Amino acid sequence: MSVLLPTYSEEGRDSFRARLGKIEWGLVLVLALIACTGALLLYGAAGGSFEPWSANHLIRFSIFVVMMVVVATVDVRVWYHLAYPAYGIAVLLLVAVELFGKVAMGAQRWLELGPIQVQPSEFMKIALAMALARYYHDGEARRLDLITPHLIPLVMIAVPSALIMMQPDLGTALMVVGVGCALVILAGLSWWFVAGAGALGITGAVLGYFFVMHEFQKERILNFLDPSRDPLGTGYHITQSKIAIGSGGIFGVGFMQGSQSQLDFLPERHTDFILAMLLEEFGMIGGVFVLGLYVAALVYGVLIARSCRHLFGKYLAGGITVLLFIYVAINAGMVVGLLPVVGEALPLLSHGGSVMMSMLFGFGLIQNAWVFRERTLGTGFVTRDRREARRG
Amino acid sequence: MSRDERSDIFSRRSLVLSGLGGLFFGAVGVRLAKLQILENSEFRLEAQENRFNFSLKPASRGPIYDRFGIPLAVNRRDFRVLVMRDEVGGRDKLDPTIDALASILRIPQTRIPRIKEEARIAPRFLPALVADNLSWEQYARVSVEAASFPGVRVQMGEARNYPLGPAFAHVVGFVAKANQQEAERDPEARNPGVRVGKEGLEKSQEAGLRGQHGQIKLEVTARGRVIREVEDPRLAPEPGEPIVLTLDAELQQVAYDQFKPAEGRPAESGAAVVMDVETGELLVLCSAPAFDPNKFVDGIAGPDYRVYLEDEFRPLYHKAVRGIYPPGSTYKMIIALAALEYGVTTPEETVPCPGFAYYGGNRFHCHSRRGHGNVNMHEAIKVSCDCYFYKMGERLGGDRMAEVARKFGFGEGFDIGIPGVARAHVADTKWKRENRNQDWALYDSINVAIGQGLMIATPLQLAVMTARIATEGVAVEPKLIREGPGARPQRPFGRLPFKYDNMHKVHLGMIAVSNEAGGTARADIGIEGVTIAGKTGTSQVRRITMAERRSGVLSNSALPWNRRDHGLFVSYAPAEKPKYCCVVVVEHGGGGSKAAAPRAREILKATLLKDPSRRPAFSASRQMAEAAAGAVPGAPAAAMPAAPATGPGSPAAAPSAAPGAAPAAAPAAAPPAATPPAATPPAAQGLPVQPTGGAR
Repeated sequence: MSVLLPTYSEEGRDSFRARLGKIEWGLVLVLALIACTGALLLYGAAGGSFEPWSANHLIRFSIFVVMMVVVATVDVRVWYHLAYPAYGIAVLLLVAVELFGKVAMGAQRWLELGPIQVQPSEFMKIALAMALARYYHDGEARRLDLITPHLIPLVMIAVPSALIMMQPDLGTALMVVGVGCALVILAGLSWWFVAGAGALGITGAVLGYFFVMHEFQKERILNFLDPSRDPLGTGYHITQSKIAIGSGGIFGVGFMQGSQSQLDFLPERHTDFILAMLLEEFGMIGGVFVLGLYVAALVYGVLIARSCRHLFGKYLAGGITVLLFIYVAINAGMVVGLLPVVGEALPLLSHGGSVMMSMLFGFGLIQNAWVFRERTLGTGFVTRDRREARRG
Repeated sequence: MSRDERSDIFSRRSLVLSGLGGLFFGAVGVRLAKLQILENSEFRLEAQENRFNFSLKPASRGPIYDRFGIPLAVNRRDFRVLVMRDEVGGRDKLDPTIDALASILRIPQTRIPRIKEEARIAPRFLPALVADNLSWEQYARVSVEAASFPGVRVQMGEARNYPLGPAFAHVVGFVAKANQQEAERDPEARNPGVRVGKEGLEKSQEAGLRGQHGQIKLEVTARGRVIREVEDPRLAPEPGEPIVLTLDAELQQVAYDQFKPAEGRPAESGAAVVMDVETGELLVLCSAPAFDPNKFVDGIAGPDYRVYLEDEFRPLYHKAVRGIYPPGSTYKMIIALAALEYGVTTPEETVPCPGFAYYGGNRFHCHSRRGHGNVNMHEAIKVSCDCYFYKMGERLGGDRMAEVARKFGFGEGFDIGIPGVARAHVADTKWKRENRNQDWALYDSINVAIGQGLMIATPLQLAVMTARIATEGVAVEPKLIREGPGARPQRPFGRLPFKYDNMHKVHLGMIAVSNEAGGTARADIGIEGVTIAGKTGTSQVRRITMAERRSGVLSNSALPWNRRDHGLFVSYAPAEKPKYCCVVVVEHGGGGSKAAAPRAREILKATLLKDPSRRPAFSASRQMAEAAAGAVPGAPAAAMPAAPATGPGSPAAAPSAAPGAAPAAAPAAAPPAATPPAATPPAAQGLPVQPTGGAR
C-alpha cells in the first residue's frame, strides 16, 4: 500500500505545481498503456494504417489526458458544488434528447448542439456518481443502514435510468443503475435491504423482459442463451467472437494475422469487439496483459477511494471505479460469451470519443480525490476546516 | 453516524465489492482458458472454414454424338464478363461500371436495364453476369480496358451449343438456367455457370451428362471479397459422360428437310422415324417443324418464345414420340393378322365390297365409292379395302384386336432414354368402360378395324409395328442410345407368339401395296433392284356427315388445315430381306399416298444408299482411350469442336450434303459418301464400306 500510494500528508492549499506532483502518475501510466494498446490494435484493424482510427485515438487520448489533469487539480470544492447542478443539467439533457434527439442505429441517444454531438447518457454516468457522492457526504448524521435516507438516491437513480431505457439504451441504463446501487451499498444500506432489493430486481428483470424490452433486446438475450438459434443474424456476433477468441490460443495468431479480424468476420472489431481481436491476434497472453491493466486501474481506484479522508472523494472515486468495472465487465463478458451482447465499448481500448472523454473525466475525479485526499470537507458551502477555524 | 464510522463501512464494503469484481475477472480467465486452450483446435478449424469459400466449378458437360461421331451437343469456350458487387465500391458505382462496360462491349442500349437489375439483385457472394458469348475482339478489348475498373472480372467458361440446331432439337433437348424448383432440388444449379437439362436427352440423362461439379477454393472476407484462389487438385471437377446415339445426323437432316417447303409443296408438320429392323436402332427420330435449341440456352426472349407457342405446327412438341394419331389403314395389317390368328377367316375367303356396308343400322363407307368387288385378304391389304376389314372387325371384336395390337407395341411407352414417350392406349371393352363409362359397341369394332375411332398410336409405335411385321414376328425393341448414360445392353429379341405363315402373308400383302398393280402406294424407289414394302394410311380427324356424302365429300384442299386428314405411310426395305423401316406421319397433310409416301420414299432411299447400319460406328469410350494412350495424332476434335453453324436454314438437298459435318468431312459431291463424316475413328477407315449393302 505504501509502495503503491506514497502517503502525502501536507494539508492546505497547494500551488498548481504541487498538485501536479500529487497526481498518481502510476495510474496515468496504466491508462496510457491501455490507450496505446488500443491504438496498436486499431492500427491493425485498419489493415496496417493509422487512418481512420488509430491516429484519432491517440490524439483524443492526449487531449483528454490533459483534461484529466485539469480535473484532478481543480479544487475539490468546485466539484462538490457542481455535483447537483451537473446532475440537474444531465437530467434536462436526457429529457431534451427524448424530445429533440437524433435517431441513430434505431435509438435516440444523440443531441446535436450546433457542430458538436452530445450523448447525455454518457454525461449522466459521471454526474450521478458526483450527485450521490455529495448526497451521502452531506448526510453525515443520518443512519444510513436504514432505507429512509436512501429513498432520495433511489429516485435520483431511477429517473435517469428510466429516461435512458426509453432511448432505448439498455447497456447505459444498466450502468447508471449499477453505479447508483453500488454507491447506495457503499454508503451503508443494510445487507438485508440489498438482498431484498436483489430479489425484487430479478423479479423486475423478468417482468421487464416480457413487458418493457424491445424485440431486439429480447433477441439479444435469447441469442446469448443459444447463439446457434440464429448464426447469421443476431447470434452471428457471439459466434464469430468466440471463433476469433478460440482460434487465438495461448500466444495468438500474430499481429494483423487474425483471419477473423482481418477478413471482416468479426463485427465491430474497432469498437465493441476489439477485445476479441486482441484475443485472436495476441492470444491469452495479450488478453491477460490488457485485462491486467484494467485490474490495475480498478485497484488504484479502490485504494484511492479508501485512502481519501473526505467522504465526497471516497464515494466519488468509488462510484467511478464501479463505473469502469461495469464497462469492462459488460464488454469482456459479452466478448467471451459470458453475458449477452450489449453494444458497449471497452473504455480507452475501443475507438470512440464519448466513452474515452467520460472515463478520463472520471479518472480526473479519482485523481482529484487522491490529490485532495487529506483535505477535510464540510457540508453545504462551508468546509470543515473553516467551520473549525470559526469555532476556534 | 460519524464520518469515521462511515469510512469504516466504506472500507469494508469496498473490499466486498472488490472481491465480487475479482470473482468476475476469475470467471473471464476461466472462460478464456476454456476457449483458448481447451477448445483452441476446434475454433482454429472453424476460423479456417470461415476463411475459405468454396465456389462451384462446373464440370464439363458430356457431349452428345450421332452414331458416326458428328457432334449434336457440345461445349463451346465462352468468355464472359462479370461484376462483383462488393468490389465495385458500393451499389452507387454499379450502374456507372455497367454503363462503361456496355460501351466497351457495344451492348445494345435496350438490354442494359435488365443487366443492371440482375446485378442489383444478385446474391452478394456470387458475381453478376454482364455479358457472355464474347467475341474475340470484345474479349481482347474488355481485358485491356477493364483493368481500370475494380470488381470487373473476365472469365472463361463453357457454354452448351447445338451445332445442328432444329433437326435434333427434340431428341437432344436443351439446357438452360435452373428454375426455382430445380434450384431447390439441386442447390449447385444456382451457380450462374451451371445449366440444367430441360428437354430431351439433356433432361433425362442429366445425371450422367452433368458429371461431378468441382469446387474453387477461394480465400474470402466476410463480405465475400476474394483475396486469392487456392489450388487444390482434390476439388477438380469430373467431366460428364459422352452419349453416342444410334441416330444418323445426315439422315435425320434429310428427314427434317422433307417437311420444309419446297417446289410445289408447302411446309408441313409431321414426324419421321427410321429404324434398323434387325437391331431396333433408330436412325431417324424426327419431328418437324422444330425450334432452335441454341435460343433457349441463355434464356429465350419472350417474343421468340411466343412465336413457337402460337405456331399451329407446334414446333416445341416432339411428335415422333408424343404425337398421337389414328393409324388409319396402316393398322389393317394387324387386323389381318388377328383375323388369321383367331381363325375368323382364311386367306382365301372373299368379302364383297360394294363401296359401303351396314352395321347396326349405320352405313359405313369404303374409301372407294365404286367398291372393290370381292376381295380376299391379300387383295384387301393391297387395295386397302375398308369393307373387308369392317367384316373382320365385326368378327374379331375389340378385345381380340387389342390383344394382337399390344403384341406389336401399341399402348407401350418405349424407354429409349428420352422423356415424354407417350404410351397412347389400346382401346378394348375394359378401357372403354373405365374411361368412357360405356359398353363397347359394334361401331367401335368397325372403326378400330380400319385404325380409326378409338385407335391411336404414335409414330414410334408405328415404326415398332412395321419392324415387327418386316421381321415376320421378331419382337424388335427400339433403341436410341448406343453408348453412355442411358444405354442398355443389347439383348436378343424374342419372337411374337404368332404363326410364321400368318406373319408371312401379312408381309407379302405389304409388299403388294407398293409393287403390284392396284396397290395404293405403287411407286419405284429409284434404286435398281431394290423394292420396298409399304402401307398408306389416311386418318380422318372429322366426321363426314350423310349430307356431305350426298353433296360430295369435300376434298382436303377445300378444308381448313386443321380439319384435313392426317397422311401416314409405314414402309420397309429391301422388301425381300428387310433392313430398315420408315414411318412418316404428315399432320393434316391429306391422303397418305400423296403426303406421306413420297417423303418416306426419299428418306428410305437416302437410308438405303448410305446403309448406315453396316458402317463402322463411332465410340466415344474407344476414342477417349486412344486419345489417352496418345495413339491417335490429331484425333477427331470431338470434345470441343469449332463446329460451323450449319443451321436450320441450309438446304441439304442431296442426302450426301452432310449437315453439320466438320470442314474436314468427306467430299460432298459423291452421293454415297465414301467415308462417314468427320469423326470416324481412323482405325476403322480400312474397312470396306458397301454403300448399298443388303440391297439386291
